[in-house]
Amino acid sequence: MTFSRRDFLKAGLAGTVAIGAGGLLDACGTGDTIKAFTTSHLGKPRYGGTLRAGLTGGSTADTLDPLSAVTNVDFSRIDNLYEPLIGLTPDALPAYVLAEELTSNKNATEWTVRVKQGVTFHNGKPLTADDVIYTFQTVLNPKAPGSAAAGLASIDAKGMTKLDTYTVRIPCSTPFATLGESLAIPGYSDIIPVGYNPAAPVGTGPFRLKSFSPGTQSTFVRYGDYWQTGLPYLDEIVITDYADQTSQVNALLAGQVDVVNLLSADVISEVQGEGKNILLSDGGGWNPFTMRVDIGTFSDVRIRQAMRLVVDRQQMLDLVFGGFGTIGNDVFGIWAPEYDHSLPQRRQDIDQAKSLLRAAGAEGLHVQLVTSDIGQGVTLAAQVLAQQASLAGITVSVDDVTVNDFYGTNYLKWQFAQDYWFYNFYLPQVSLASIPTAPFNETHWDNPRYDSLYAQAIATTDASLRTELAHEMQQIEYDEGGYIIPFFPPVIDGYGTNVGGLVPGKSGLSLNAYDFKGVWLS
Amino acid sequence: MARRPEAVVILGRAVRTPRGATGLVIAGCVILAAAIGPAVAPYSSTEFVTSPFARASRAAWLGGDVLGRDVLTRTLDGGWELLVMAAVATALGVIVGAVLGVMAAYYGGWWDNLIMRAVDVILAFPQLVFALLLVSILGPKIWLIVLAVAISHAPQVARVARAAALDISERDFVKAMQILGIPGRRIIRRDVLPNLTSVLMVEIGLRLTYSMLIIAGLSFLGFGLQPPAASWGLMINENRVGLIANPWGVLMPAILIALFTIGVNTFTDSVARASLGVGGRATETDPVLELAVEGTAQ
Amino acid sequence: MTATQATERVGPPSRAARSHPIRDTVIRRSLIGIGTLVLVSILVFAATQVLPGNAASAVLLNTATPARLHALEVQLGLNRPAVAQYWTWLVGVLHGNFGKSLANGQPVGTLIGGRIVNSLVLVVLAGVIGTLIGVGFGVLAAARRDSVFDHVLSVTALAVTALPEFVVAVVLVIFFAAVVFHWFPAVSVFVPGTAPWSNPRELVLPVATLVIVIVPYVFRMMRASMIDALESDYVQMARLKGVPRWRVLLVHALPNAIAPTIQVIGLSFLYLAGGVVVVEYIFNYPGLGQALVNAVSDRDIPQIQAIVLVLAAFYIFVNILTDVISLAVSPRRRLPRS
Repeated sequence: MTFSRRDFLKAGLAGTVAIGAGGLLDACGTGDTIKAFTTSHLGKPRYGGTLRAGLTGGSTADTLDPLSAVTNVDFSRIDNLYEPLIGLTPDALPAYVLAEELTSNKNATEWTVRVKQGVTFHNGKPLTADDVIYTFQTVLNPKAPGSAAAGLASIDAKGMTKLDTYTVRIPCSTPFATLGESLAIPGYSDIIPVGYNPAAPVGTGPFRLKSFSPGTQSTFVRYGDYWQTGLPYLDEIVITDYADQTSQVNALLAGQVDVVNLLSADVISEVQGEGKNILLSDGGGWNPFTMRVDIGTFSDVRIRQAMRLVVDRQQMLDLVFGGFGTIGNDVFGIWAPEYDHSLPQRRQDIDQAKSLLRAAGAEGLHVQLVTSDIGQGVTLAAQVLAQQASLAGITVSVDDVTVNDFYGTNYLKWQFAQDYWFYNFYLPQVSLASIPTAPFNETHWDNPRYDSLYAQAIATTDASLRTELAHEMQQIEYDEGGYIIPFFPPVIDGYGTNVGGLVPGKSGLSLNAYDFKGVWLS
Repeated sequence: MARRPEAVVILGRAVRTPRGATGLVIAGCVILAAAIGPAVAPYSSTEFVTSPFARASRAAWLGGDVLGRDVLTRTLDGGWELLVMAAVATALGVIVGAVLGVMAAYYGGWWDNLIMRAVDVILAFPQLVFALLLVSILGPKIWLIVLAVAISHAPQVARVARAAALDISERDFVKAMQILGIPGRRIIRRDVLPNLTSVLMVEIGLRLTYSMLIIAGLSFLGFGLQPPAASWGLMINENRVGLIANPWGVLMPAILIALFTIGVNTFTDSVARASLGVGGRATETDPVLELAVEGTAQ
Repeated sequence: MTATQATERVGPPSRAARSHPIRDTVIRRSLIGIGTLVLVSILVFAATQVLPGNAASAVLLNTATPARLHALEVQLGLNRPAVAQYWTWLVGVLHGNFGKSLANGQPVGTLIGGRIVNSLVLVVLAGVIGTLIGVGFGVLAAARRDSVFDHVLSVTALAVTALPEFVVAVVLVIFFAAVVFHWFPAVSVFVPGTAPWSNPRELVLPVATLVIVIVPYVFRMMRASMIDALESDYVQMARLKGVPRWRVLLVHALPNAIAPTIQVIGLSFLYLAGGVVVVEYIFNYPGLGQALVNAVSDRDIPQIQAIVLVLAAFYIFVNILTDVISLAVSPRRRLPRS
């Protein structure tokens, strides 16, 4: 039961929808190009109907608060209730949503954003600069920081000022040339109104909240005064939490739900065999193996390199994801414009790995790999790595801990573990996990040359110069870093034949980050 | 005093009945498969030999599992740990339970109340839930799983042992020995305990199947042996998603677990019947069940 | 039944005990039961304090920074001393308030209320059906003792006893849902908020699994005690007097045989309370067992406490009920041993 990508494309592409063209807008002053965020559809959309989504990944910790989104499925609600200043296109490029213009000064220490006029929240209140300021001050409240606080740490929220009804000045305590990219990541710039009450949430999104029962079900209805006229098409969305894939697939096949998320490659033939469709996205999320470079076994760079060389990346993709997804090269941010595609693709090289181990005096190495069910395929990938490493004489003993234990007191302290990340651009991701001051520096990476390159890049408003600096940084990581990034997993979702307007997306979130405003039911 | 061979006598009698022989053979086959399995398996249990959930083929007689490993190999490798854990947990639970139950019966009074109240508290949980809570607190370590299961057995065994021991303790010859000043420990060891033999033997059989059930169940729920270990309970869970593509990854371990419980149950039943007339206990129609129910009334 | 009588301590009965043994038993056992419940809640709470990580890390997952963890812990009251947390909870329970879930802030009562009903449906359905089947076949097998019918049933019962539920469930799914036939859904596709009985097809496999697991016990006990009853003098007399066979069975033998079976039926209900955990997991049935597994993963202490209490209370209640019915049905045991 192996399927090659070719088989899949032959059989399944009929149901997927291609992306329409988007216009290109130039944000003056920064040299960045941010695309206009148009919705995409082919064929004739029809108004009305209730979309029933059966989603896994939820739990009783489900939340509607856009500032605390955690799981994949939290975004299914948040991405329809709220909207960001800047969002991601299906190709993982930034595009304006609520913002109309974003410019910075020469040193990238001060930004100015102007929001669109005529946008209203679900309670009728118009969107103004005050709401933008309120949102960022809430996210960055030091006493109760939101999920995005770590990535937006440079912003001086207290110092934000209103220039006029729709324009805000954003000062940054340190240069932040990549503010636009950071804001584009899902969950980083969803705007809430002044006086937002999580118990009665309102946003500017295409759907309003009707009911919410965490871990069970939530319903949303069309927001009639949505600022993008003509959208959304659907009258209602019902999102039901499912505990596992088998129930999801059964529900989809029985016609009880219209879309499902996070399928594994094993069920593709079953779903298609029963006449339903698969939406395959080249996800930009990544599940690295993390090696601590500061203490212990992996502080010797030769052992790190050896570990990276034992991995047969294609085999891992084949076994864990049915061959779908994209092979990785131990550097993150694959869809970012500044990603260096010219780095030679690392492949499995057992002999080289063995000689590196010999040089480091580490033949017959024993290591423990901490894994957990934190994301799709993570524990399976750990088992595959262990088996592949044995070919070079390395014994990897896999320690599968509960998710709670994994993110408990030892999180970010494991010597050899895994993790999962949603898609992020290259430099913003560096600020999250690859410099000494980063909050999630799981590899404890601290390379002075790398740090100084980063400091330069983050202050450079010239995009091409930034890219050059980023390439240099990536070369260092490629040679000496503590990450093993064997692949970027695919995102496999399923949908019924009556659903139109779904597009594949590279954000790493299902169903193109749950963008339901362009979806219709025939 | 030639009391020890009593257990042997009963066992011998049981084996000679058709039920006993059948049960022993079935259980024995499973134990044998689990014991020599790792030595005769065609591959290693972590080797990738085919594609995930591939159907049975010449290379893999039972097809592939979730990662394309050989189902036959993993089945052969996946039994012995489970069986050893079940055996140890049973032995531990029965010993501790029997000791506590006999002490409660013999010494009575304050001891009796304390032990029986503790028993009540533990018995206020379903066995699986109790083991689940314990294991989830401290993590799925093997010694902890064994301990959790043993602790969950002890109260029931204690109850049964207490009931049986009370019966003996009330008898005149024991009272006579007490009056003569023979120390309690000796009386317990020489006269009370041996009379519990048949009861305990049946309890061992019952508890063994429950141990298997709970440990495999814990693995199934994800609280037992962790991947990439080959373990029957874990295999059933991790291969469920590919049930339609290749059911063997689930069926084979399920069949083996089922055969084991069937074999042990049948043999235990024959042991209970064979113990009639030796201890003079249960009614003749369903001694195992009588003993299972025994001591639950208060 | 000599051994069970031996469990009762001997002594001259007081006048009160002699006159109302059932009432006294109920009162005494209920008090002990409440004490047990309190003890259980303390133990479980103590255990949750030993748990590594806490609800905060379960909620934040990979977005957990020390600042966010701390803020959430304060919000959830997790940084207060353990005894204070327990006391707050206990006082709340005595007022009928089981606290708020640490995972999402919803009141625990509402969260698990519906699930209790769902699990009860499974337990009651399986228990009643299993009892009826077990009793029915047990009586028949006893009436035709040593016939082919009896042998087949007895051997089957012996074989099926103590099969793990997940093995039974998986085999049922393979046969009736996924591979051989496709008569029933392999998992429940429950729409939350609707009653479980609104879609009976989805109940069939979970209930069937539980029934298969308990029928052997009830069957064997019924058969055994029925055989005993049929050989008693009382029944022999009735036969000699020419009473028709079915009357002998149902009117003379059955009432006497039912007493020991009550114990087993009670045990079966108790066993079901644990068995539902695995069954709910396999069939994705939104009941208490599933909630417990999730609550433990999330370190959601109030939910864990509430669910454990419900289970323990159920246990104690069924135990008391079983003993009361046993006492009521067998007058012999009400009297003190002479």
